[in-house]
Amino acid sequence: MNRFAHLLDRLAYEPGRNNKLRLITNYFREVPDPDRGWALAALTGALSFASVKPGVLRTLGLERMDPVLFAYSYDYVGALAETVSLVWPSSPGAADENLPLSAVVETLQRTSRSDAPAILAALLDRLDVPRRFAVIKLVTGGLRIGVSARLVKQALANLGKVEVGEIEELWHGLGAREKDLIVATWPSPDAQVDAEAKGSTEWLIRLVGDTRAAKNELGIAPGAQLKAYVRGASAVTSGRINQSFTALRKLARLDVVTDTDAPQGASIQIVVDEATYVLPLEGVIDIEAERARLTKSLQAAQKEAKSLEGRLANPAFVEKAKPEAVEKARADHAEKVAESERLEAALARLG
Amino acid sequence: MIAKMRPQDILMPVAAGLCCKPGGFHIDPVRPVERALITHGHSDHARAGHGAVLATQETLDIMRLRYGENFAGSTQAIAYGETIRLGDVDVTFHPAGHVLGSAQIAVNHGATRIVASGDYKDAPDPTCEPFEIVPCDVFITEATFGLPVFRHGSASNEIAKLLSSVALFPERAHLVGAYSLGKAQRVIAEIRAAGYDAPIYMHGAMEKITRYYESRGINLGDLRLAKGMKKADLAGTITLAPPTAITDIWTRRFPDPVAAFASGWMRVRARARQKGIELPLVISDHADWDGLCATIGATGAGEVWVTHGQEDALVHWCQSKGLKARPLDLVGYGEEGENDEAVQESEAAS
Repeated sequence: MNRFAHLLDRLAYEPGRNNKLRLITNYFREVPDPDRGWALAALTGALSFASVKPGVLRTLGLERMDPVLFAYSYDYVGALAETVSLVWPSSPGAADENLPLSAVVETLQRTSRSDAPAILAALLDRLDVPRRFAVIKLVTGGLRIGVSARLVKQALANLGKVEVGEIEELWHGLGAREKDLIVATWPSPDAQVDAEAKGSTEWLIRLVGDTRAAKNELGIAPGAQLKAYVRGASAVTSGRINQSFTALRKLARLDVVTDTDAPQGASIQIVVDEATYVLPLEGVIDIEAERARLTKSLQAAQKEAKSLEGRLANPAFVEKAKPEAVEKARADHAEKVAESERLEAALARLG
Repeated sequence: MIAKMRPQDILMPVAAGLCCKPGGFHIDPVRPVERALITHGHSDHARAGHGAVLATQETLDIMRLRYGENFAGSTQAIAYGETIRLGDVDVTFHPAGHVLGSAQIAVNHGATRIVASGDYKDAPDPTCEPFEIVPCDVFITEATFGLPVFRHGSASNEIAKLLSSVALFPERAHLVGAYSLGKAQRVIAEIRAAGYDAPIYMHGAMEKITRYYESRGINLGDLRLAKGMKKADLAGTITLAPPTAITDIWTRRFPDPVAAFASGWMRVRARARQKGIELPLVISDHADWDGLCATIGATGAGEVWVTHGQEDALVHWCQSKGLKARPLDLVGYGEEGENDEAVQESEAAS
């Protein structure tokens, strides 16, 4: 756990956000499994042990040295965890250079409150100053090194070259597993990709993304839980739906129904690959009001698109106006056309 | 036959410093005196204006570099192990392992030997003679790091921290605060020992002393002045500078500088934070707690006098080991070179 202790030290003194990110990403890149998993858990506050109270820590220190010297030391340093990490007697050669973080965490996890002091003491005997400090911070709760969970997730995203949003989606979206994810082998950004796993993840991201976009267009709250009736799903898609049932519930807020047809009436229809997902809107929004709002927006967008089209068709404008102005008109036109198409699709979904 | 004198009659603290009446001299006096014996060149121990100065050749050279040709009425060089008779006492200089030329001074009167160790360290240092244990009756020890919280560890681990940071942040400049005399050269030598052979840059204030080290056969590799370098060209480099410089306006010439500081004080987090240090490097030219305790034991001294630093804790430790011990009230000795800084400023300006 040398690397972990040094990471904590470095983070505690580093004020810059980007530099902190670089330090954490680099740690995740270079440290093997499962240590980096445990470090991730520790940095995001997901680890907890039978905690050791300051009084116990103080007693452990006092049992090992002259109380007068302990008092002078504590007085000078001003912080108990740091004092104990510094004054803890160490005999040369006793430090175990290669003790992995995972071994430390697993030991501490098996520890009950009553035997925590003895086990902590035995552990401190095997460590040097920075690692003693790290262990004491772990067991007394709270690393307090000025690093938020969000920052750690960003570091993970940088490591895997993905968006931090994807990390956050997966963070809570994973179902029950045989073993904690934290001790699993991490993916390598350059590794051979399992085509089905990749396809399945991409499918999930598309379905979640399209569902959110459709809800947004219709002014439905992102948190609203909707039913989705599936039509025309292939065997592959059906398998994916079964596997991702919980993820879809949490990420897309969809309860997927595969064995019944959708009820009649207005609905959102989302097409991903060959399957159509029908989300009934009865009772979710005021359909007539929504249709009126969409129609109005559509007319406005179409009108603007037409006006821009007219301007762009005019050779006098295209030739004489500033190139930036022409460029802007083209971009605006494309945007309005796209918006019209989106609104038409939304209207079509309402049925 | 000389009557046996009490140790406190051989060497006694007075306002000017540690006075040896039977020998007619002071050791590291803080005020001008007729005859001074100087342990090493740090400015809180080596001051200008004495009548006659006895010190190692290196210490005399360093004083000359800092104070000019006329820093003393007359000078005499003494080699390690050489004995000189002064009045009723014999004095011998022994390596203290602190900086280049640093010495412990053994004062023998009759059968009594007192060793004034000045500043010392028992850790390896490629830039000076290793510390030598001198058996004695009374050992005068410093106590700069005289608390059990100070454990310096190995310098090579700290250098590894610095080099991995340089590798991780190739677009930033690393500024390492280090006292101009001794620490800076030792840090450079340790960086070289770790296999780093790119040019190392330095602040103008440490150029003279560093070039002097090189002239004494200490190889420090390719050294350049940071002055006049283009900002962009300093990315990914290491620069040594006096401690006061690494957080002041001078740093603006460096791209996104990382402030590192090589000092035993960096062991305590609050000290590092107070100084605005991002990369504390625990490298000291003073003995740490374990070094002080081990050295006191190894000298075989039955009596220990403790000066500058955390006297109380070390006196308590000595007494708990059955040794006679007392704090020696000497004034004018600073924390690791902190009194040096005034000198460094004037050197920088010149």
